[in-house]
Amino acid sequence: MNKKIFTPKRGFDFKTSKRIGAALLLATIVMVIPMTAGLNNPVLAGDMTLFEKSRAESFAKLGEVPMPEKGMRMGVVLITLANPFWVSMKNGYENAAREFGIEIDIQAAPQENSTTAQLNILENMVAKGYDAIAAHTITAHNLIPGFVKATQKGIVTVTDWRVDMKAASEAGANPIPLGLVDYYAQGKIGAEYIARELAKKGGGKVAVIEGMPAAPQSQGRRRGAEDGFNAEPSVKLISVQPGDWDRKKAYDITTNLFQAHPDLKGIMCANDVMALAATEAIEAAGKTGQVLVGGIDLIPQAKEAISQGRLACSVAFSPYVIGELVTRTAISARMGKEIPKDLKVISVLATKDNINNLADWK
Amino acid sequence: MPVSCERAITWRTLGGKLLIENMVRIGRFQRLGLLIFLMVLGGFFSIMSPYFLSWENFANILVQSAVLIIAGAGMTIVIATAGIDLSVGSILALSGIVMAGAMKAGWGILICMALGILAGGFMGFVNGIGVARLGISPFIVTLGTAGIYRALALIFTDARPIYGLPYGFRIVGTGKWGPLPISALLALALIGIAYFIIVWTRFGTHVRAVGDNPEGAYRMGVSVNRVLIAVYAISGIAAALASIIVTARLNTAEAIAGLGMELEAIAAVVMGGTSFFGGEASISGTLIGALIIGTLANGLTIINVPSYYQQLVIGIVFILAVLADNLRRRGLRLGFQKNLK
Repeated sequence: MNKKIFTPKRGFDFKTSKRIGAALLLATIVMVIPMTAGLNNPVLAGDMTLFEKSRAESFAKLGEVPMPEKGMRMGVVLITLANPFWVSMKNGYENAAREFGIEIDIQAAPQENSTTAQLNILENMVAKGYDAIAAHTITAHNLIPGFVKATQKGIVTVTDWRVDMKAASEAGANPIPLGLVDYYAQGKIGAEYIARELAKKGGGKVAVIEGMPAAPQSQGRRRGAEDGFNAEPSVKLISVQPGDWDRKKAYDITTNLFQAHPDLKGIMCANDVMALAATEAIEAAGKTGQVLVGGIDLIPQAKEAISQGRLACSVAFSPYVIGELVTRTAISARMGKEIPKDLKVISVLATKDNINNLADWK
Repeated sequence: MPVSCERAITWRTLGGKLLIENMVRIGRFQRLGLLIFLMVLGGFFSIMSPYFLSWENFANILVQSAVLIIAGAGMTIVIATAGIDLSVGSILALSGIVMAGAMKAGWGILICMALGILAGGFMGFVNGIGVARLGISPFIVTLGTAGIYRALALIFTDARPIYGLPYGFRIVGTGKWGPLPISALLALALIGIAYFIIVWTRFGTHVRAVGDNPEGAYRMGVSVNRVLIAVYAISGIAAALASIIVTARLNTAEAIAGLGMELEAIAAVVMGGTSFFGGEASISGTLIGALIIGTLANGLTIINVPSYYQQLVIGIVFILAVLADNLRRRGLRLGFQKNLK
């Protein structure tokens, strides 16, 4: 056979061209895989762990960060520190500040709903005269008066897309809005994984436990999860319930869902805390291993639960990298660099297949 | 009830207003309107969904209300002294952390639970000292300590949850004794004890006397300060007991546990007919109030009410429940007055 193909007489015959075609196709696939890998490919890229890789990808769009001026001071307003997520983000901010040699002060509102207290913190920071301020707003509007004052004083302000930019610019504020996190994609990635796994076993009924119904993170994740489930014809979304990010509420909702639908096969939760509560409820109901539960955030407890096989999946996005990315953006903006639109951190699907590569995720 | 009668006479000599009426009211079941409302609510959910009316779901509702029942029992006793305890949620979080932390350190389960209850009692004791000895208003003291205890919980844990508790402990939250969930049994036993304390003990009489007329109670020889301190300590112990159930069910203790718990407990107590002005305590009313809140949460999920509408329904039901009870009581009182004429 081989002899025939490569005889010079026959030149460029049909079989050879088919092989070249196949080779080209293979090459294309090989090149495309790394591009799509960001979302859900468990393969390690070179010597980097998934965390390092997604961190590098998250920084890529912003590009090189200019050296900050000497003694640059940055203020950060977080939503709360009563939650490991925000503590990790704080560590990210502090790490980036060390890396670039700037001073950083970080403050948070006493509770996740202390909108006025958060505005007061921002206004105090503006009065103190920082060179740059980063603020993670609680609602779309609560920080706008503070942004106006910061703009008047010429302070570089960085915030996220949840701020109502139209209202802000009408009021005379021009903070730099970052995309930061694609909540919709997170809900969708998780729900799609559960739907895929269920489809292998013939599908079934699924439910979504969302967070606080009015919160944009919750809305994005819920819509994503709904779309993820609805895209798979063999699974049927039967209920969407508000768990208010609360462990006890999610536990009770799960118990009640099983009361109404004993044949429930999958639950996508808008965060890991609720997902872990759902797994506890499932185990208490004697249905261990019969239900796929997905969460979002990849908190340490979820990592353990995934490697033990109690939790089907979680969607990881790094608050630590958010802190670093915002600091880098603030420095770049302060030094006059143009900031690209929609800067985001990369979300990664965590399942039992790649959980070992996520040990250093923070 | 000879005991009640004897006390009623003591009460009359106390010279307080409405005392005899209170005495008659307590010890007999007065919250019939509320109970009927709870049944109507249950009936409604049973019609709306075939999955609501079953023993299993009834057990679910009991388990889901257990925390509220226990915290509500403590709150009832506090409100009976015309006080309030806003630190219940924070005590729940901190005592759970003490318990779980000790368990993680390898201590025995029973010792850890006792330690958590002691911690809760101590936190309540501190509230009581603030109210009784320092004479600060209960609202301010407990609002302050609510912040302090929550902050301590965050500081101890660095906002990280403590999880992976021993099986022997988790059984309190998830186990069953025959067909009965242990957590529900615990809640019913505790509210039974609270009922006993309020209705049958001298301490219970003193609690109501202090709530109704502290000056009068003091002149009658009731140690008002001691009663107040004991009442807040009891509320702290109740919060710690509720914490055992929360922590055991969720297999996790965390600093943000029980956020807003105190408001739910107050809602259950007030819906149950205990007056904010003190002097009366309806433990059975609190039980039904807590069950109404639990039944609502359970039923709304089972009949699949969309998220945005759930708060709306809960608000309406709260008001309707109290209205139903008031209507029934007003009817009774009118009848009573007619008989007098």
